[in-house]
Amino acid sequence: MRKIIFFLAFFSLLITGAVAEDREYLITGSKPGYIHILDMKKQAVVRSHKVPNSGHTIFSFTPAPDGKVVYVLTNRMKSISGIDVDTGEQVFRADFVEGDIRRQAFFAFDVSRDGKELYVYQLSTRIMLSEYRQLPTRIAVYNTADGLNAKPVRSFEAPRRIHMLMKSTDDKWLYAAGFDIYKMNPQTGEIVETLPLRNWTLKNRSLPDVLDFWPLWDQTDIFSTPVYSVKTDKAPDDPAAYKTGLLTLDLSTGKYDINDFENTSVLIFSTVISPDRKHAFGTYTQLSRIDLNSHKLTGRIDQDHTYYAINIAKDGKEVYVGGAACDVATYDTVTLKKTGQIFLPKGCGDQSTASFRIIHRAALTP
Amino acid sequence: MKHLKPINLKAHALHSSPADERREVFAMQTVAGCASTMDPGWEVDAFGGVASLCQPMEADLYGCSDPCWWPAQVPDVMNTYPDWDLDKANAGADWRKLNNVFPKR
Repeated sequence: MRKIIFFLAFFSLLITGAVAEDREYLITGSKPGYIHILDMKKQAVVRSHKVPNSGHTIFSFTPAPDGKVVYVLTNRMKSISGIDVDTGEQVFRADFVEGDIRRQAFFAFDVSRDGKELYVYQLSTRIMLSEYRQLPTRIAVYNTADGLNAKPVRSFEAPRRIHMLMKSTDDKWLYAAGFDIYKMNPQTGEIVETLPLRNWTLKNRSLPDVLDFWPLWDQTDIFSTPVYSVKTDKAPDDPAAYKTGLLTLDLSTGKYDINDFENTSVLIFSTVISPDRKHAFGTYTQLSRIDLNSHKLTGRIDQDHTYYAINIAKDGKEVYVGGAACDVATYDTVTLKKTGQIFLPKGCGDQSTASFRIIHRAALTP
Repeated sequence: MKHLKPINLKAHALHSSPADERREVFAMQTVAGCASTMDPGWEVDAFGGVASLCQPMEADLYGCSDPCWWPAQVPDVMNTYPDWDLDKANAGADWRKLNNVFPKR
């Protein structure tokens, strides 16, 4: 009898646990310093939280693995604030400025997969009477349990021009995207591998052009970004000289690929991989769909206006676009038709370059 | 040097600072703040036209100015004029209120 009760309890835990984790929410940020939690299936904003001392800005953010806290780069890139998703309470704060050292984080930060550490890329400048003294660029590591006056528990120097930090799913590695993508030891900062981007060896090809600071791998753990380059063996007036490709880095396996998929005809700011890993979707002023097997463009429509960021539902049926202005639009992934649009509350502030993340967690109470 | 007299605040601060705290001046090695960044030519897109710029322009205003991407036309909001967009959260509605700034004294 005891065994039966034990197994019943065990399976009921499994079931309730599964149900508890089954809800999906999209998070975006807007001026003057809000984060918004959206239930996209209901097409509704379910929470809006004001970030304290935000300087009217929300830049990148990353949710804790359990979806209960969102860490927000704010205060003109000089602070990270951890906001409780349920209550809006600030539960973590790291202010970077230290005496005469002005320190800012240019988008790049991530949380460890166990939720215990934040990795923050920081640019430091000593402000002197008649001189700004550049200090080494570094990655500072914070304990998420350190509350409202968190200081780095360790730091190490890192290459310049890093715009994205990504933790591997096994927590063993930290990927830093800059001129190339550096695979680093998260304890020491040692670079153990350099994945070539600027130093790629494609023949008859210009240097690649990449702009990306949107962490959008929530559904697949695959980082993706458009890559632009020019074939130097083609005439400058030949449209086939200008190529758009897709870079993918699997944070589970480390698999790294770059494949052209079209002659450059529109700009794409950010991309997301579908949960079945068959398609990528990209946004800017158009919404684009790319087949990942054939590396071909398979669909494109004009959007109402420019959006910077894109994410996708767990079932793969809808993509969401946001960033830039103050609305979030929903598109069907098969027809690419717009099926919804939500204007953000609290004055419909612009999202600017805010991140655009999806969390899975227990349902928020109304 | 003894014939030089400080006439502004910075010169007074330098003149009154202890001699052992005065350090050599080095050429700046880094871009520090928006105002020293220049990206002329931004007003055209990658194809030399305007069709691929953000639509409408207002959708892009804060996305460019917040991270100092649009330095020629807007103030250094990163460090010097962080309140330039105060109470102007929606660029499409509030762009008329975005004013000029003037050097701080």
